[in-house]
Amino acid sequence: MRTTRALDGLVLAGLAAFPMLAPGSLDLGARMAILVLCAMSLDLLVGYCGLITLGHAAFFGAGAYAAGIFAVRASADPVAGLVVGGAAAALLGLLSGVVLLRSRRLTLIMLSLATVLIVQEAANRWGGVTGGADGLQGIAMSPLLGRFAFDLSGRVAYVYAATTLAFAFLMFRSLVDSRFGQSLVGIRENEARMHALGTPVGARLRTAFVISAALAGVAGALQAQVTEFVALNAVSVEFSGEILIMLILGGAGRRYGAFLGAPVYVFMQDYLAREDPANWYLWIGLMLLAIVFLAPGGLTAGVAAIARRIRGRRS
Amino acid sequence: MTGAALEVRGVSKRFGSLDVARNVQLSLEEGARCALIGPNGAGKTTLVNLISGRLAPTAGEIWMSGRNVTAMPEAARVKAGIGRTFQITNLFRRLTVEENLALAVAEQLGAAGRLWPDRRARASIDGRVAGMLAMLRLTDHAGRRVELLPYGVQRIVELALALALAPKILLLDEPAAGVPRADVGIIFEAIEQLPTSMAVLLIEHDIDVVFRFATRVVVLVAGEVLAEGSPREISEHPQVRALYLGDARHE
Amino acid sequence: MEGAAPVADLLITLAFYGIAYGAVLYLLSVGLSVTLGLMRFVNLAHGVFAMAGGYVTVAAMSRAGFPFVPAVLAAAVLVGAFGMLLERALYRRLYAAPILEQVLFSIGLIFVSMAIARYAFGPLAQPIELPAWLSARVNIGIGVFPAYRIFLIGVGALVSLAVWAGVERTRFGASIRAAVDNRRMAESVGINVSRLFTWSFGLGCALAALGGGLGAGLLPIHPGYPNEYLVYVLIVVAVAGLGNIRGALYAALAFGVADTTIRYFLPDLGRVVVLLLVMAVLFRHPHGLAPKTDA
Repeated sequence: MRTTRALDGLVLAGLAAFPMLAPGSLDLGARMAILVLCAMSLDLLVGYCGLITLGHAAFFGAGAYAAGIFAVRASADPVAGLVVGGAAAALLGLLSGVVLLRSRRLTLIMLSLATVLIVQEAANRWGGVTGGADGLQGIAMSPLLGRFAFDLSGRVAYVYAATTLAFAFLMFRSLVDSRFGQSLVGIRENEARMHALGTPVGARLRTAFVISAALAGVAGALQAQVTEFVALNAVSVEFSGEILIMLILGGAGRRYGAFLGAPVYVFMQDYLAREDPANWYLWIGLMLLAIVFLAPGGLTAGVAAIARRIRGRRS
Repeated sequence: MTGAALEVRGVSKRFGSLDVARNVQLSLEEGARCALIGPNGAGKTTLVNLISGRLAPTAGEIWMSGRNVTAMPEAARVKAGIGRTFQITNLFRRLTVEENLALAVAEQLGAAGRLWPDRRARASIDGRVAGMLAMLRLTDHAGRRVELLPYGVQRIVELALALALAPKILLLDEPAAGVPRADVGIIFEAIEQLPTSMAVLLIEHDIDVVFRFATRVVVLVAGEVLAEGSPREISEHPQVRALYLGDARHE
Repeated sequence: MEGAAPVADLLITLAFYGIAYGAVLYLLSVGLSVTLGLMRFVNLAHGVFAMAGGYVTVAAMSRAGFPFVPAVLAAAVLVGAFGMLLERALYRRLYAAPILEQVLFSIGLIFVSMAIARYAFGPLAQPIELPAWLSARVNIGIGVFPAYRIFLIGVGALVSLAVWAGVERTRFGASIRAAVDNRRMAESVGINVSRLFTWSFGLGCALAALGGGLGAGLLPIHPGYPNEYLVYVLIVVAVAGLGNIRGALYAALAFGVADTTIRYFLPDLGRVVVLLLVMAVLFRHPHGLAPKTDA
């Protein structure tokens, strides 16, 4: 318990210290914070509920488009846009959750893919509003809280994204530590028995689904606001897969998985895909096979094992 | 008039062309101690599944305290007061004994849906869990993962999960099956100490246990109630003797 | 009366194209249905074997000078054997693993195969040279249709008949049905389940390769193939009900016809409507239209 609290503090301190440590990479930092938030939101489903989905890009994209369209047509205030993005994704999560959560395993994966394709197609066809295949342009955010204009150095963008992530993490943390979070773990471990304990399993999962979708929507909204652009491939099956891979790379259901996985993934991608995208596919594929056969549990599990060994040696 | 704690009214269940329950009538008063016996494959577990809501009957109705619960899903029936154990241990294997019990207790206290950590709820859950652990002599195993425990201890956890729901009606599906002789005592001691207001339906093969525990015995054969009565009546029932007790002696 | 004929013609044409498309989808997905019902393995990488079949077909034709049909047959045999090898080496280690690991493994396999395809054949779609007898248009009484699609329907019918006979009428099929139904029971009556898995996995891969090769004129072979058609294969399997082999045929045909028809009448929203329709079906029947029964 003490270790957990110390690590939680370390995560927040790391977010705060990043601008001092890497003042030249604040753009990258903001991008990573957004991906961490997205992977963390997926962790709620994959890691805690045990629901495997390939549909998270739908919520990310819904949030991005909603915030982007809101900025273009209604108000350029960032925080209001964040709320709109989160709410739009939550609504989509509510609607799709009712359908998706009746199924499990392969059918759930298929329906989650279908959700992504539906949102993608809608964004593609509804070009007058979304910009279609060219992406949504013309977003110009007003200063954050009316005072801090988004600048070229990316400082404001980073602080904005990191603060949002910090708040989201505090929420995520209290959620997984709550009885609700425990009951999600119970559903993951033995859904049938949870029914026999009187748990309204469907309602619990739908709640988790909406929360997860909302957080992913906030991440999408951040992305739209920080880059002032929404690309059509924000809602793609590929991106859904990437989010899942980031989470797994870090370790699902282990609280900090997203914080490790997303940055490592981004670094690897920048490095390995530089010359030939085929290289990237090969490495990421081999890495997944290696995780499955050699290191289930991802980086977090590896780090935890090393920590245990060090501690064992000391005592 | 509220009626019996549990009433099974003419319940039938068909799987394809197979009748696993045929027009079963069964009634448990508050505080009843009833045993359900019958040869393997008689449909005893199916009946428990029908009562608990895991299976839906093909015909017939289930009533609880004067309320028709036939259409009620399993989880809602638990909230209405039915608790059960499983014949084959059905636990959260990768969680600790404590965590297993806390899931049930939190659900029973209505705290399981809380979205943030709640210190007061936690204290009352921890207190209840500790009490259950002590009662079933599980305290030493509290922090161990269930899958690492000997099967006999797992059976006790199975019973503990059902008791943690503080049910009004408790269905025990062979609670001592697979438990080493030495530990059987713990289980039946716990069963004997159940609150007197709780209605208990026990499926059990050991006839001595049945006759010691039950005030009423129901014999199920091929999905049908063959006989029902006091242990004495059942032990003197010629068909039961031929069909069931004779077999049991040979085992 | 005058206007009725064109409408009827149109509907026949749509149904015909839909059935040809459904026949290919059936070949692509029937193996996955078996893998799911038999091994409970969520193999999202099943499309990899179809893509491999397509590439082997293309390579055999362009580099070794094989005619189309022998090239496809060679691809099916080769990919089937390769599938058996992969089953022995990798897949079987994950039969008991959590679904998350199965999904990751299959996504990894998709990525690796995409990279290999790109290295070997480049990023573009592979043109397939259909022989003259398949490029013609043929009058089959109800209208004039491309010979290629007639051929696809014919092969689909033959294969589904062979699969049906194989499952219902042979000892091998009886073992599969027994194992889908109750694996432990099958083992206890002396069925060699491990060998059964390898063979049925290999056969499923061979059928996918057949679909990939034969259907290359319909679903172009390119490195993104396993991802692009994944959702359609999954739809067929899920709508049929996992492990339901005959259901996979009906689901594939129904989806093929529905998709073709809806997209024709609603070119803009067709895809969305089709997917929403699939969602509606699975909302009503979360376990598919005909869940696992008599294989």
